[in-house]
Amino acid sequence: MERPIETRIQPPINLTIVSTMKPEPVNPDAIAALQGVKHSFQTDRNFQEIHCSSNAAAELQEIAPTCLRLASKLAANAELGTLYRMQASSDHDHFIILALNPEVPNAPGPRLVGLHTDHTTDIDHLAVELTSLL
Amino acid sequence: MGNNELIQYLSRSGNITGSFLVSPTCSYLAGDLPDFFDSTKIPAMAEDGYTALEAIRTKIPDAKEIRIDTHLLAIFFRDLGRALLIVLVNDLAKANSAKIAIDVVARRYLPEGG
Repeated sequence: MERPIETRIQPPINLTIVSTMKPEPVNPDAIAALQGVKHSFQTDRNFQEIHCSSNAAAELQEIAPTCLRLASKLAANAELGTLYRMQASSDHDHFIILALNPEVPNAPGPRLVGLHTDHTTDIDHLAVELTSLL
Repeated sequence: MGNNELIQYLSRSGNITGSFLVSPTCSYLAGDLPDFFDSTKIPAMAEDGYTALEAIRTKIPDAKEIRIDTHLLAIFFRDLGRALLIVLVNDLAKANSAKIAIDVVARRYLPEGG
């Protein structure tokens, strides 16, 4: 008797590249070694802490989700493109949040890095240096 | 330096794509805006800028400026006390020069009628 041909149905595979980031967090020591950085933190895509260098960094980490969501909303509402960086400055300090990955469920890697520097730091240069660590 | 002088100075700097001033109640005061920018978005944008500054000031009380970078633009929000200055820069390589121009006008700003 002839056997029926077995058919294995494979589920469709959907691969979407959501980030060019490495899945590993950035080395906290390498961030701390960047010129001008006084405090730093890093969180995952759910804003859960990956590393936090000090109590001062923890304070800034508390407002990071609010800041990033406000900045994202602002950029989207004004149709000014996709947010990837936000910076706040006073006469003495810079507080920078780099949004490393898009806000996509299950995106690999860290979501954002926050840096607290003094006001003399060249933020653009710092961002380039940080990006080179990714 | 009043509202219009401030905007003219920024326009002449050559590094700025567009700029405008709004009051603390988010009313438009003066500006020089690029064609691509939808001016109906000004009040909401101003309100979001003030809200973001308030959020930052819960941890950095003397924060005076926010810069937001997108893939298209750098956008500066500078609190001048009686007005909020919003500056658009569509060439990120010019953002540092734009920042210097913003610092200059911020030091010289005297609101009209104030």
